[in-house]
Amino acid sequence: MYDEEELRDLRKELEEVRQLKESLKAEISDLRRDSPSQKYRRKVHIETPVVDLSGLTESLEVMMEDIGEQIQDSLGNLHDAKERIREKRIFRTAGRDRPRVRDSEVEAIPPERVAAFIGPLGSEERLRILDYLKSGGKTFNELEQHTGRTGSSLTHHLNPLVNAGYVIKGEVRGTYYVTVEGSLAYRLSQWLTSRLESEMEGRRYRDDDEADLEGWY
Amino acid sequence: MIEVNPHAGVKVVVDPIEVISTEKVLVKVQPGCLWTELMQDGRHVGAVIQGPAEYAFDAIAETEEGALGKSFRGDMGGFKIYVGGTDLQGSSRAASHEEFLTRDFSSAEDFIEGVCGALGLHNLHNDSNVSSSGGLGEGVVIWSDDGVKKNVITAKGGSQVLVKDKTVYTLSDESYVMVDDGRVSIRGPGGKRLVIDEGGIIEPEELRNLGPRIAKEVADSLKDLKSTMRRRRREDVPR
Repeated sequence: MYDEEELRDLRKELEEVRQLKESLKAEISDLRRDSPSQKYRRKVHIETPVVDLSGLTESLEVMMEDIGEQIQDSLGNLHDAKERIREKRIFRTAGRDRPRVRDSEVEAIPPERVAAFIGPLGSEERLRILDYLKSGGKTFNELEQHTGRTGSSLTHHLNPLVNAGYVIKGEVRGTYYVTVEGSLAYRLSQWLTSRLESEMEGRRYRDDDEADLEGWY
Repeated sequence: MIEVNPHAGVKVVVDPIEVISTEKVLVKVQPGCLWTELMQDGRHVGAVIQGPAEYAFDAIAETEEGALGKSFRGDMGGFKIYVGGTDLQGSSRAASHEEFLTRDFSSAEDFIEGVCGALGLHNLHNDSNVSSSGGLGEGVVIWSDDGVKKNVITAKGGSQVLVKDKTVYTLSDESYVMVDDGRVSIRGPGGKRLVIDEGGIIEPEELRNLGPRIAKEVADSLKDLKSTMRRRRREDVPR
């Protein structure tokens, strides 16, 4: 939706352009009327102006026409703007239009907020459930067979996932589905695991190298 | 034209029966419900049911990114107009006078009068488009909890529709349209998704804030134009 304020700004800009055009016209008129050389010449040669402004006015006319075209082009470009915006967007990463979260804001998230999102993921059974549901909705029985947990033991793991919004239960057949948020949470958990494993592996190699080097000296 | 079968009489449900039963939609009629048969062009097409009934509707769309939507469950008040192939006869018998009284009707005629009122409320007397050629367990149910707002559930051939209060959910295997909480979400067969709320387009992200972005483009163009004009004025006008 167009913002009223932005439309007002646009109208203001157009008004300024119009005023600028008017002031240019006024300046040309002033030049014609008040040019000292013209006045002087007029006294001597009244019928023949020495300063020929026709060239200037012609160029200004041309300029005005140019400006008119530019205005038309600028407004005409509106049709292309959407395409340009879209073209630019193709190369952007997902979520870039969202308000950027500063590192300091991330670091300021208190443990209880982290726990609200991470806590429900905190067991192998729950992660196994999310992983299984990625392939589509499953009934309670199917989840029991997959996890090896039955009845309240499975509910104990399912409920935190449902309460966190990671899993949704269909009322018709009692089918469980992993939500978009649940998929994202699981994917981020996998990414975190991958990063930490790689970091720790790198450190182990470095420690080993240092130990080898110490052996040399 | 849909009409009551004058020869069918009024029955009472004795065993619970699921008149609509698909993977994502369930409409269940409970014992004690009174009902009478509906005809269209001489064919049996459904029933008008009055009494305890409930529905469940999974307005859940499965996408590659995960599931979206909600699941609904609720009671269905008033007369329920059911158009579909499920036969209620096997779970019913002729209603007794006491059973009419239990449901606040004085007689079978009083019940039929109420049925005709419900058909008129939903403008079904003249509407020949309400029909269900779906399979067993599929169909349409129209009802009104308050006698004013019309609610609709349909389930047919892998497609489901729920219209209740200010929510509309239409789902098929590959696409959905959801109107809920002042937001419209549309997903096409190719996975493309469009979400619009009062503030404008939310998805796709490349169209978010489109208005302000176009306004900025125009403003930038005008700024360029102004600077061009000023420069030309400096260059062309002799001092």
